[in-house]
Amino acid sequence: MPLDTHVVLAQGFVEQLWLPADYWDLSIPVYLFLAVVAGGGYVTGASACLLRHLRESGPCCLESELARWGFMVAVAGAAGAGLAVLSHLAVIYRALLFPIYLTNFSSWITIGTWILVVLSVIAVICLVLQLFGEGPAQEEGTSLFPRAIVAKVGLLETVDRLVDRFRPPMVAFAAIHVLGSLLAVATIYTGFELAIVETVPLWNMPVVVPLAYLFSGLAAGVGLTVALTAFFEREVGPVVGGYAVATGVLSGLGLVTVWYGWTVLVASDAPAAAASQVALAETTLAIGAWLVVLGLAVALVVGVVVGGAALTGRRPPVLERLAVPALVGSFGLLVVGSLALRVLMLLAAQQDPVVVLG
Amino acid sequence: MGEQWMFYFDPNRCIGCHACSVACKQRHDRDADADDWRTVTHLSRGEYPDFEEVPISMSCMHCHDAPCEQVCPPDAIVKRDEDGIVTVDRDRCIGCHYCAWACPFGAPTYDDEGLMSKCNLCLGVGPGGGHGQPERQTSEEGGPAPACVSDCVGDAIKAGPQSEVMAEASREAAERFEQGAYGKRVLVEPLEEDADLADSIREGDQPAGAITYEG
Amino acid sequence: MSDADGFDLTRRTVLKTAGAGTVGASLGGCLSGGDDQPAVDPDAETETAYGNCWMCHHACGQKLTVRDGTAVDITGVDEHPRGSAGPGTEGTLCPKGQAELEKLYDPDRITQPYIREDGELHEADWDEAFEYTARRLEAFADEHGPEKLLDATSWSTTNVHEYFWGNLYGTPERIGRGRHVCFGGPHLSGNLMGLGANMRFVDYQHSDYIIAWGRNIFESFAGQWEPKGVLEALDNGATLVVIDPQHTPTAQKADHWLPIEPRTDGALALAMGHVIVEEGLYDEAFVEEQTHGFDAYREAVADRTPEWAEDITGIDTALIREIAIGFAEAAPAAGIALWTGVGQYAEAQKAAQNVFALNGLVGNIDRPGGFRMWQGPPLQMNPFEERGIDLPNNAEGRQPALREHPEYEEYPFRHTTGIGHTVVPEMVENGHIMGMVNHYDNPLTDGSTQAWLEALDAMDLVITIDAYWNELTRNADVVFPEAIQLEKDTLINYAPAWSAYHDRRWISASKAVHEPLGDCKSGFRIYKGLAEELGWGEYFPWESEAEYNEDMLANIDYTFEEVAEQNFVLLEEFEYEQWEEGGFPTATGQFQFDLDEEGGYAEAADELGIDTAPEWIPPGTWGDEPDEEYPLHFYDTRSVFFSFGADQPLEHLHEQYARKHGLEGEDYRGNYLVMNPRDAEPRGIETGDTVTVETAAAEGDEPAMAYVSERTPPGFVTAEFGFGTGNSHEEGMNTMWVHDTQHDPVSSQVDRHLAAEVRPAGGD
Repeated sequence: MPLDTHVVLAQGFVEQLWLPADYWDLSIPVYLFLAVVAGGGYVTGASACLLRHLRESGPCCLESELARWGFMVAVAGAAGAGLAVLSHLAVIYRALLFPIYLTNFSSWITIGTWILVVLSVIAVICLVLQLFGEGPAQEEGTSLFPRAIVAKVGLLETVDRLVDRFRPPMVAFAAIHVLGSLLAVATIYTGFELAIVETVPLWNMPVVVPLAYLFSGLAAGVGLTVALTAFFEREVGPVVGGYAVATGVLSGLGLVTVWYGWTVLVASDAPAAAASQVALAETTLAIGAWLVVLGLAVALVVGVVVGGAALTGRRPPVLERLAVPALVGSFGLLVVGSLALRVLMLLAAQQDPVVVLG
Repeated sequence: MGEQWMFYFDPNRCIGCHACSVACKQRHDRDADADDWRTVTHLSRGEYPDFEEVPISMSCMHCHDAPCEQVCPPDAIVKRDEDGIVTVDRDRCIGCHYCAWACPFGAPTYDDEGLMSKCNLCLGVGPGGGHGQPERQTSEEGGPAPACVSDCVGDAIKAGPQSEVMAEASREAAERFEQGAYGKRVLVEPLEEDADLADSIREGDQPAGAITYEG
Repeated sequence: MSDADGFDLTRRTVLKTAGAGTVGASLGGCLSGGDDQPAVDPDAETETAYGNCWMCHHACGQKLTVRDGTAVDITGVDEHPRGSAGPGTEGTLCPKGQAELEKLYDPDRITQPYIREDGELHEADWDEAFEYTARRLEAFADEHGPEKLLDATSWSTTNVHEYFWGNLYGTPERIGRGRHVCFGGPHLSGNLMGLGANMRFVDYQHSDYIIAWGRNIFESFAGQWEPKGVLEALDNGATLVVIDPQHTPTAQKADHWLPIEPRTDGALALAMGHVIVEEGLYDEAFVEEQTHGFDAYREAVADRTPEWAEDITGIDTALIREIAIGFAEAAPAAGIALWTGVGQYAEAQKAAQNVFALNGLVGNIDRPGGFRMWQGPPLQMNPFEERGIDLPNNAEGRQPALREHPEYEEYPFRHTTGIGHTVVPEMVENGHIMGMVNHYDNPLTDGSTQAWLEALDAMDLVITIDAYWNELTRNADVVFPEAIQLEKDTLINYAPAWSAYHDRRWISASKAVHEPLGDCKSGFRIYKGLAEELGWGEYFPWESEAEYNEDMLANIDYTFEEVAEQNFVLLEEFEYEQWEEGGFPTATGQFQFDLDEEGGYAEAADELGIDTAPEWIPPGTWGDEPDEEYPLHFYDTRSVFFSFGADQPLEHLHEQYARKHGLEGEDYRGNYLVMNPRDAEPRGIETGDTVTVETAAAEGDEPAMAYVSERTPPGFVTAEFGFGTGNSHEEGMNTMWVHDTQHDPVSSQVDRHLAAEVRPAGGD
């Protein structure tokens, strides 16, 4: 998919002259997005496990649901990110043999590959531990649907037995969660992948871009987990409310970072910054830009208001009735907005040309 | 470590004829419709008769800091010690295009196989042809002149070890280079001054100072 | 038609096929398989071969790298008179010159003779083709007389065709390209005024003031020495003035670009003359001693003030004055390079006369930095004479039909030339021309295309020597596939004069790089074979073209081999101010402001009611003038990628042409219709849309793709010549499809400047 046409409209300045846009396709923003969503799902899952442990909640609690949905988001996100990036490569087998081929550890792609691969392995382990074994066998909930699938194949008992046999001790489990959570935050690398490109002012903001990607991506990951839980459990208790507030706060941080980035862009003297700014403000890309703002802002408001109400238990009947659709709707919009942020960042990218200024 | 090779370009002498692009294609036996390793772009501004069009010839500049090499995950891109030429080992390239993102000049191209190829300063022939070749020799030493240089009708493109190229540049160009113009990656003769480019782009239609891409 | 479209063959795969054929034939089929073997052994030693570029026939030196019998690379020849800036400078090749390498192995080339039998073209071997052609020529002579065969051989690399068709076959009917379709007006003016036919070149390197008048030297040049010379002059501080309605790469580098109203060059030149006379800046001694008709000139410019010219040309009075004074003060180191821009409209002869008069006025002729009268080598252009061959002149006593028949009395140009491109279809209709031989040319690209197509149909015999299929070759009775220059032993005999060496004669030659592709033969061999079949074998004792070339070098101290080995040699010096001794080659022996002494011209002028002296003839006097229905000026142009129609099929060239316009993403690889946004917008046209050009005569053959740009003035649209129906690259529009007999009545030059309308063609 050639992504250059909009940019040309941006007063036709540098166009894709120095960076042909056909080097990218939609798989790139999808990859950059899903990797952080996986991180968001993971931290939700891990923290829910911690909460359940701390609060000594019983089976069938919402913490378990959150944990399972969180790990599922993590696994699906990581898998989706992996597939997206592989679909973009020319020689897939060399990428699959990354421990042999990806030898440049100063490249964010190499670093990112390890982060994503290890995170996905950990997420899979955590998900399996949450789905199978004696404990989960006694639980109920929509998030346990993979059990039904395994049962259909007739392997449920075997799997439950195996999982319990290899279930790590508490310390190891905690260590895994710590490592996983660190890796989840390390999905900030997706921002660095762009931020190191010095000649594209829209990207070359080594603090803003990674933070914007991290906040908006984590928000989308956490929000997606919250939305799934709320949607299937039809219930928004204090725990879910807390995560909704967290989603709102992350969205808010994302919004602030994005806004700050915009002001940097506006103030820049670089011609390419101006061209990016014009592209984002005055072409059809502006629709996408407003989508980003809308997604983050609505999630901030709804997350804090609805989640806050649920968290504190002060829930007027209106909120009670609207909590689930409001959270699902606004966090769905958040996911779209957060993805749109990545798409826009590629579409509006302009490289400072070499020969212009005297 | 030998001396870094680099390119020189003088937009004032470039007549925009694309001889460099064709010479490159033919030297490296590449199909006419493949992406050019050396491109000529025509930048224009203004309304008739206050119109200007400036041709710019660009390729891989074999940057001293080779941003492409720094980001290449499989280390397929090599910044050679002996002559500074940036080559690509197509047996390691995974086709991730990250080098194209990082490159300030849009130099990497990708063929039907999806593998990267680009200018190798005529160190070798064809995509990946520069990889593993012995040290680049100057024309005086018996090495081939790069195809784009040897067929530049306006004598606008030069290449060679940095000291030799610097010696041929105007004082102004050399000074600007020393001050860090274009990241000290390529020596370019000054074309014209234009300070308020960003402002004029923001102001909208046909910015007075902006050179726009026509097409 | 050979149809290799859709194959994207690189040089090596082509070679594999071609090479296998050749080797297989020579070894009697001993070689088997080998499909996977690389045709070129990468480790094989390389050799060097030379060429003299014939893509635009201006002969820049070409140096080829040959490996394993295959040319793998091509570049320029250092210090070459045409392809470098002179002593101590490197030679290069423009895109056309480089693409001759692609042409060398182009699978689309015609590589077999074809003859028409039962209405169809069939492949033939050479013996069959020679025999068939000889019988057809004999039958033609019997039925119509040889004088009814039009000799339309043009830029062939050998001159043997002139003797073949003129002396032996005996036709007086001959049409060439330069003076009839390319720059007829300046050609006539230059010749008659005393500048000669090479009236377009300045002694650039020594010049302080260069006026590129209707010339785009950086894009359309007669050898790369021209742009290189101008760049050198600019480096040395020379002033460059460009007079052109369109912004061009040359205008970009100019100190002054004068975006003149189309076809008003004559008015500007008169006004400049007015200023120079008024200011007393002309070269009185030169005018006094070396010129004729100055009084008439002085009178002609008397009331042609810059103020008067400003209204006509759109150029500011003060600027006209500045340029006139700058030019005159820099003289004699000031020169005017004028070519097709003041050569291809109906009033061009007089406009060119007005411009050339400035040379005589400031006395820059054959002085350093001015207008140079170049000298070629003393070639023996008649090798028959050299061999002592008693060549008959069978055309003797025969007159071109134009001058014989009352039907053509309405054409004043019959006094100045023997034929006109636009009158040929009428001559065919009248039965005065019944056949044609065409060699390295294509009349379908150069005006009245539709009438010419009908004329081709009506002719009894059409013989072509060509490299590509097009409407001409497809409609011919005989198609001879000619080897290209790189496949021939070539001695450059077409005007080896103007060059980067301002004071040296030179000669350039090259040997064939290797055997021709397929069954192609050199033009020389084609004529020799045909001559033998016609019983004229005794006149062709040379075994090869190289031998023939040897005789051409009879007066020169180098053999063909010696020249070819180094590609070019410099010969003796020649002086400036050659008119001091020899005068000017005119009726009066002087530079002529007034052409009153030139009988033919005076008769033509009389019939047209114009002066013989410089005079302002407004546009529209003879040519089209835009009106309400056809409000746009339409003009054809040349880019650096193409010269004649034989370059356009090459992929490297049309691909880069597309890239230059940023339209490589489109499938279209035809020519672009360039128009200003102010014309495009009201018509709903954007870059990339397909558009149709229409004139009073016709609607375009095919749509072209629009390229909307401020490069061209409002009201002025252009398209690259040499595309579309009738051309070898059939994509795009033929700019001359919409042309219908418009011409300069003085010189017969095709008027390539039409009134037109452009409409969206409903696609993009």
